[in-house]
Amino acid sequence: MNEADKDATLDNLREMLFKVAKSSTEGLTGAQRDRRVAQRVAISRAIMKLENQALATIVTALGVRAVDVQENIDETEDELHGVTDTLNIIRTVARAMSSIARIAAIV
Amino acid sequence: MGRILVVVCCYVLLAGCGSTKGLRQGAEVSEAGKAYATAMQSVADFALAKRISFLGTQLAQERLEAPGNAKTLKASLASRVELGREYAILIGTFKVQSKLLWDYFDALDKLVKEPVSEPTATAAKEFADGFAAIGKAFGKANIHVSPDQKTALGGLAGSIATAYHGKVVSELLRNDAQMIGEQLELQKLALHQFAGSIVFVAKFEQNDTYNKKVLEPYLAEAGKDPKAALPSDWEPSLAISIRDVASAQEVENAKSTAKKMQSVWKDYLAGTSKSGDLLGEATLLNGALTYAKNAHEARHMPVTQ
Repeated sequence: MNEADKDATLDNLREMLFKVAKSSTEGLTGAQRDRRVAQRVAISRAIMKLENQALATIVTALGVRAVDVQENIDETEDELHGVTDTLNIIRTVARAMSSIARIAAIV
Repeated sequence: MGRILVVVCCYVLLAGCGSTKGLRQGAEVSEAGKAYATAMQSVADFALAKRISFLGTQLAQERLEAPGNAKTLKASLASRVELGREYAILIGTFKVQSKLLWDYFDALDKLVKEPVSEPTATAAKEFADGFAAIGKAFGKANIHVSPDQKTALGGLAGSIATAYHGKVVSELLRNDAQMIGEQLELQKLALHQFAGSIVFVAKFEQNDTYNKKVLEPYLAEAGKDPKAALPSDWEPSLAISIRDVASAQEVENAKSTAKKMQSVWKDYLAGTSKSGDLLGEATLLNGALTYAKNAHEARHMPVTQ
């Protein structure tokens, strides 16, 4: 069953549950009432199953791509380190210049 | 010499403008992405809350309609609690994936916000001081760098640093564009799924509340004694059955906003929309979901009168 079919089935089941829930159980015999309850349980279970399946498909696809996301996070963090490293080099050189000047003044 | 300096300054200024754009885009994309990922986690929680509430209503109704049928009730309860648990696990896994997307945008945000220009300018000024001091210390050169020259040098270094910073962010966004696009597509599908479930339960609850807590007591009391007071939860129930329509509508709005957000991202990559548009859509999405969630929480608050 493709995604569009699943969506359509889900919509139909939801409509059915609405109808069953709306219909009154007044005047029904015990057996009829039991059948109505069983019908409602079956529909609501089917809805939950389909919803779970649909979400599971998405979660699986996300899981497959999680590696890519993690890789991109690592690359972004590497870039951040690159930027801060460059900045630190400039700062270090500036500090080194001051130190050399101080030593030279003493000597 | 002066001309060369002017040309260099113009180049740096132009590069600086481009880089400021890159940084601004980076900031807007990261803010929109974080807002979006947060909204997705929140809507996942909301879907689970609605599923539990639906289960509760259904099970209570069955218990009422099939009294004494312990075997049936026990089997029905067990099978649906199992399905509920399966859903809860899926929601938990989805939230972990969604948090990963949030982490990506957070890393981007940190990169964009890393202070680069000011410390580079300060370091360049220190560099100039050190250069002059060395010359003086060795007594071989009389290098004098005036405060204005130092400020200019610092400014120049700061602009170069900003240009470099902006270029890094722009390149990163270009490289990651496909990954973000795929994630937005999957998140949109998830939102579609959550919204379908939430709206269905909201409508179900709305019908249930209207029939059992609004219509039935309204007609019953009128039939017995027109002057008899309505039950204490009648008015709050009426309010709930009215408000729930707006709540379901907001979830539908969130669904179309997610769809729009994905197309805005495509346009952004094609250069026909701005990163600010992306941020606008994320804000709308958050607003819609917050409204729907608040309405759900209000519905499940105990009636106090």
